[in-house]
Amino acid sequence: MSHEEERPEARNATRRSDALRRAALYATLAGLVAFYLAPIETGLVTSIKTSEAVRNTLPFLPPGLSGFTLDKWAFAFDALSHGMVNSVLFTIPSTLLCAVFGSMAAYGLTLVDWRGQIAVLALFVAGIFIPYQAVIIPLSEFWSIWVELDERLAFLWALPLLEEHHATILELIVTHTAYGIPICTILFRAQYQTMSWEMIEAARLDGASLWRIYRRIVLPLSVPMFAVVFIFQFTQIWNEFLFSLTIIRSVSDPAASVTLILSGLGTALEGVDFPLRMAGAFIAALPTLIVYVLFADQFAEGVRV
Amino acid sequence: MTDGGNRESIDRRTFTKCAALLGSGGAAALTGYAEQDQQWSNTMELMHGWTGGDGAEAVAALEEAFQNEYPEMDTDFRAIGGTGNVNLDQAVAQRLRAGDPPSVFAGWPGPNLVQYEGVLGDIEQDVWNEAGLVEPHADEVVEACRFNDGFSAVPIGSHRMNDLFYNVSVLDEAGVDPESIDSFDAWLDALDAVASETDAVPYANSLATWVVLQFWAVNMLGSQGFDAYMNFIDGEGDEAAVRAAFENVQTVLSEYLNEDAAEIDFTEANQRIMSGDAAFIHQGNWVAGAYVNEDLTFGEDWGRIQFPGTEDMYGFHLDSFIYPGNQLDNPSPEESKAFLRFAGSETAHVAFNQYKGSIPTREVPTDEFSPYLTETIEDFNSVDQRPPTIAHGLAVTQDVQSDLEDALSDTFLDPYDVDAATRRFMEIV
Amino acid sequence: MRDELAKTVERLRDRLREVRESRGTGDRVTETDGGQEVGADEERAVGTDRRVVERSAFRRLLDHDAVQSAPFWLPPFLLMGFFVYAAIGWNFAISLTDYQGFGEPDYSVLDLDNYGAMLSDPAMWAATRNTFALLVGFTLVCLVVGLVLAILLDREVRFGRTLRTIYLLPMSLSFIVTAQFWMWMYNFNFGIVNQLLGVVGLGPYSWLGNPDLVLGSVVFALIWQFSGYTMVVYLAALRAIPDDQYEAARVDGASTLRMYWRVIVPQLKPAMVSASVVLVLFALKAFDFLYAIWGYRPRRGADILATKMVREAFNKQEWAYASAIAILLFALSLAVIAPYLYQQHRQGNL
Repeated sequence: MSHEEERPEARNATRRSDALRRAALYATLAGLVAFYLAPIETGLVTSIKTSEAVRNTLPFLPPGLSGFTLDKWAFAFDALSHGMVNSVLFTIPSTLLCAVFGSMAAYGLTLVDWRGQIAVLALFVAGIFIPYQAVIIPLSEFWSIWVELDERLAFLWALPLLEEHHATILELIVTHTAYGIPICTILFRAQYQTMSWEMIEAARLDGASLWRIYRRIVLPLSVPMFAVVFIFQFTQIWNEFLFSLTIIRSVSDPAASVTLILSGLGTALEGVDFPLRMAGAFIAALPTLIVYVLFADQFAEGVRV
Repeated sequence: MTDGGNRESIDRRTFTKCAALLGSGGAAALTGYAEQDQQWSNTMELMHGWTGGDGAEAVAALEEAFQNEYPEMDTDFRAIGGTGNVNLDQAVAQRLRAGDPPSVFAGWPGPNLVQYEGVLGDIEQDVWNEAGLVEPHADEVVEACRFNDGFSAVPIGSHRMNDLFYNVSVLDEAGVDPESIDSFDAWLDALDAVASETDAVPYANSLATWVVLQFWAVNMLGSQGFDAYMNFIDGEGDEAAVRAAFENVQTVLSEYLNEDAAEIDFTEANQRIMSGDAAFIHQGNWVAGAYVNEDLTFGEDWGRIQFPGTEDMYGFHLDSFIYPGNQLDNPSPEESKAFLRFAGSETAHVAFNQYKGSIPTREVPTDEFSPYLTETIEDFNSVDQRPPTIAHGLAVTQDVQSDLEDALSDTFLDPYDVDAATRRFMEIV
Repeated sequence: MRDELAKTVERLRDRLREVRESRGTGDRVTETDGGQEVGADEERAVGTDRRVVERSAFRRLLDHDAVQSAPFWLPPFLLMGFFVYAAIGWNFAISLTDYQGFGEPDYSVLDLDNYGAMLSDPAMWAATRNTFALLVGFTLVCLVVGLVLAILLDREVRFGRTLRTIYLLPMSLSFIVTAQFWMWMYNFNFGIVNQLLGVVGLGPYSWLGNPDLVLGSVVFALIWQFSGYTMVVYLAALRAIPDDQYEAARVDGASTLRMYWRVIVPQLKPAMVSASVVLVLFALKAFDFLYAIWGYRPRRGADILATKMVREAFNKQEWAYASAIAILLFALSLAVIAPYLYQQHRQGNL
């Protein structure tokens, strides 16, 4: 250090090369921002273009006033709105259930130590990684041939607010909950492992029941992890497609989810309507985008299994 | 279904009784079916795939016409979205698999019915004979609706599969007289003229497998003739003929096709015909529905010829309503059959087809139909041959069609390997 | 609520001290239990064992724990177990039948015919090849791109958090949504990709149509979507590396790049392993993306096992054959997970 102070030219040179390096760094970072945002940006500007403007303007530039329209957004909203409702109906309950079950399982497998839990735990971890293809045939068989919720619950459909397609929603809630449990369990376990073991032990010696410890100590300490799990699971379930395709099946089903409807949006006899598709993509992504922008940190923690 | 269903049907019965008392037979005299119309106890649930545009209009017209004749019957016309019949077929399959069939569903008859072996009911007596449908319908139509020893389907309309559509002004600019295109070579000359004289793409289409399968079939018909085609679908195909048809397909697709054909839908290709960016397209005549929607005039903006070499043919496609039964219980046998009797009637065919852009498969007055459809109806009645479509269930079973499409996808869809494709086609059928 | 909790904790600490004092043992092992790194769990296990040896009364309690804790883990386990493991077993049973079309599977005749049919199905080979190409290409490039992103962001960068948020953003989107975006990006006539290449005089290319390009195009889009994920994993690992190691490397006179390569990157190996496992599984699920673009039948060159399986089942009603493909897929993912789980178990991370 003292060397450099004595030789200003050298210091200047270092500074220059430092500045150059920083400039290169920021240019790279900015380039990467462009790369990651480009598909989204071009989607956004395209969604507000008339078909005319789509042909006449560059894909990443916004349209002029004459080429501007919100019609596609309005149309996409009409097409997707009941799918949004359906997606909310199954995403929120299954997110909550996943989190509760995950927290319980993690508690039972972490803070209480017993032999054989490793084996059970291994089954939970492996459950995260199962390709859904390996289960969808039995799953569709189970729901459509064995359970037939819509018929079994027929007495419910006469009630106000309940309709037959809610049977499908219920099936999706159970399905998403079941497949969400493993990841939630592992997320909670990661936190519970860092909790103070001695505290639990002390409470037990104090005669507190496991349930009491869970409620009074573990749950309050898990609040931040619940936030992570909610955010992560909400996005996962909202974005999911394969279960929608195989359990709901049809885009026109009253229970169709938003991803399912989006997959069939914008194809008509008159041609593929890209502005409409883009508008639809944004509407379908809106809830997850909002959640993501507000809670990016929790999301990042969630993905880092 | 049980509890709610019963309650509903009781309500409906009470309602029906009241209505009958009030109307005291006044309305009943209006139609011949009215007497039966008092007895409906189940909802007639129909699944179809016509969700958008002219299809939706057509099915709405059909529903309205049906309700005019059967005002007392509860109906549930359920549209299953998606291009082609993929989503509809899947939704129907799910219902059949779950043992919960709809009353009636839309689909292609012919060999396409084979996949439903065991779950289709016989409607020969109650529908075909009772409504007298055999006589007025063309022979091919009647044959296609037969299944096992009886009937399981009722025709509703037919799209023509051997049209070659074109943009009039592009052909004018290229100096091509469409009427002079009477052979494959003449067509190639026309395509060359378009390529050299205009900026338009000579031939627009999608490279979706079913589109290419259809294009191969029409080339087979055009250059090898009706018999060669029929032999092929009967499993006695002549390899040289299959190969020659593939060679024609290869020539057109590799030299005159739009570059992005592999990633676009036929609808987008058709858009280019309408906008003047392309000259020719071969498709089922559902594409003409788009011309009508865009207010383009037949003969001025767009035109059509028979695909060269198929001048005496009508490429035969058929939409029908299919009756589930046999091992499965139809949820509403009486209502379903009443609907099917109606679906085969002149009223139904006129109501449906004038909007759908397809044609009735029985003789009807043509005054409700556009000039183009009138011409198509006349052709349908006057041609010598009506070869069944291979890409739409009438010529081969669903399995075989699917295998043919796989073969195209594996061997032919660019690079165009004529040898491999020919070999696979000969193996499959 | 926080106060109350703090009070409870304090009270419990006191109680623990009392108990220990009355027992007169100075068990310190539990003190270190903070679960900081890999070793912590092992330590706890050791600590537990020691206690077990020391007091048989405590052991009785332990034996009861499996039972006592059952109300917590058993219901979720049963729900998950039924839908995951019972379903896989059921799927395997279906794969031994010749179930197709409508009606129900006949479990009275079971054989391996479907597996034999897989071997002689040329499309299976193509799909398997494509699956591996996608797995390898996607995973490797994601690991590299993620590493670069993490290293760039790990230096003290202004707006680092915002940048991280932007790079990770695509991962919060559904495959169905990103497929729409990329169909437009890749659009032959109007897409950005061809327009940019046009500036330098290349193309246009049919990115989603040319069989030689499709898989690459798909992999590229998937990398766009998931490289942020690897970045996050690496960043967490980088943050866990003590600062003095950076300092040491710097004092050493090493250039930044070489420092990373020599000192830091080797320490990222565990992160790399776990990230690749997750990436492989993302890739196996790429079905959604392909379906959104092509429906049941992807363009030749882009058909993978996942799409073929769903096509055979839900498009062609070949349930038994599709089940066999599903078992193959399951075996593939097992081949990735099992060694990983075993390794994690060995390291005491489980």
